[in-house]
Amino acid sequence: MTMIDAMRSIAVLEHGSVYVDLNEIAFISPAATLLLVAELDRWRRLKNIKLRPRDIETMHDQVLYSLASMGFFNILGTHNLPPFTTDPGAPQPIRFCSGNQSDLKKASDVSAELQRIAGASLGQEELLLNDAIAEAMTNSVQHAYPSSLIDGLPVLKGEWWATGSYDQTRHRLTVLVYDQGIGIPATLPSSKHWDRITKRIPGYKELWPEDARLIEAAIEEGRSSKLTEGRGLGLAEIADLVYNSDGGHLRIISGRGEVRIQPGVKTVLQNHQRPLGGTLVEIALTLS
Amino acid sequence: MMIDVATAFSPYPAGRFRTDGPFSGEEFREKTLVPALAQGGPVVVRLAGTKGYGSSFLEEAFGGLVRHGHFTADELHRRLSIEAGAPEYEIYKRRVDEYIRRATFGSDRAKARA
Repeated sequence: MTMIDAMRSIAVLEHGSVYVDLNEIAFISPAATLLLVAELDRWRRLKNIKLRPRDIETMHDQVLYSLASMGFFNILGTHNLPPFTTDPGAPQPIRFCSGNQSDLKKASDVSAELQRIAGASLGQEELLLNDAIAEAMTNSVQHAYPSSLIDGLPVLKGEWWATGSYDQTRHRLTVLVYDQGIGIPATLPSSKHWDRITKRIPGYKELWPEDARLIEAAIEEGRSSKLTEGRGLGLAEIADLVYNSDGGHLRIISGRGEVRIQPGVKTVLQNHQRPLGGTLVEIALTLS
Repeated sequence: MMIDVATAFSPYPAGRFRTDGPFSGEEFREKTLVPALAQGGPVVVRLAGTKGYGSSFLEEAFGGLVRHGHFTADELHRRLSIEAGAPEYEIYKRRVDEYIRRATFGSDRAKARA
């Protein structure tokens, strides 16, 4: 997040070319790679800023591999990469896609590509994974961007970025959908289901709930009630996929909150000092 | 009348409102379902063949028929049949039944007037 915060600060002030030094990074997760890609994409499209990687030949191989696989260098227009080796056991990321509509074609392309590199099929879960990805996109399009300026920064309204990775050591597919909106906790007070959501949080009137508790309450409300619309319905559908899976998990980071749901395991809530600057939905499924 | 969603509408139905994308539940309801039901005869909707159905799409398309006051749940029960078409689409058929059952007749029409 430090690097992304720095990129945001620079991008607001600068025009033209900005150099990015990624040599200090020894390891980058697929989620962090997607955030970087999205940030770069935002400034490239909104301000025509040309971010250029510095000293690319001395970057760590894993970082180079993850960024290259996800299409980071294509955005930069850097096509001549130095040779790098990859750990065969490392998660294999796929190229990102983005859009500003709920797009089942792109959602199904992500899951198909992951199954292709895994050399295995999700079977019945494939359709449900497609649905979950599309619902995450729908949430971004409908709820994430009430304004074209969020936290003082211009945003691409309705935009989401999606990718995934396959971890062959754990036979696990992971899908990531990210938006740069105001975050789930900030959207909930305007929800028609706000009263029902807050009833799930003891003492909320005395003390404003932390973001992670709000996200969890929205998911719980969606799963247990008769919602017909609102963010809770989509979140509930995504959570249901994971709850009905064997060895999967759902992680949602939004605002300052992080919720990790895993069947048979107590839900983990965390609150971070710094907000994410959007919402990241991570859906992991284990191939049987 | 038979409506095969994948061929008559799109293999990629997703999103609730038209603003969410071109193959939304609202678009399917208003452009395909309502005109078919308005003809007065029985309508069969076949679900198989798409890449999935998000809950937002299904709720808006089918629950929306009731919420927007086009038809009551009882009328739909008599005139609208949902055919899964393949075992993996049975879950969607159950969801459609549930969304129609949950919907309150005319609730969105009333909101629009207010």
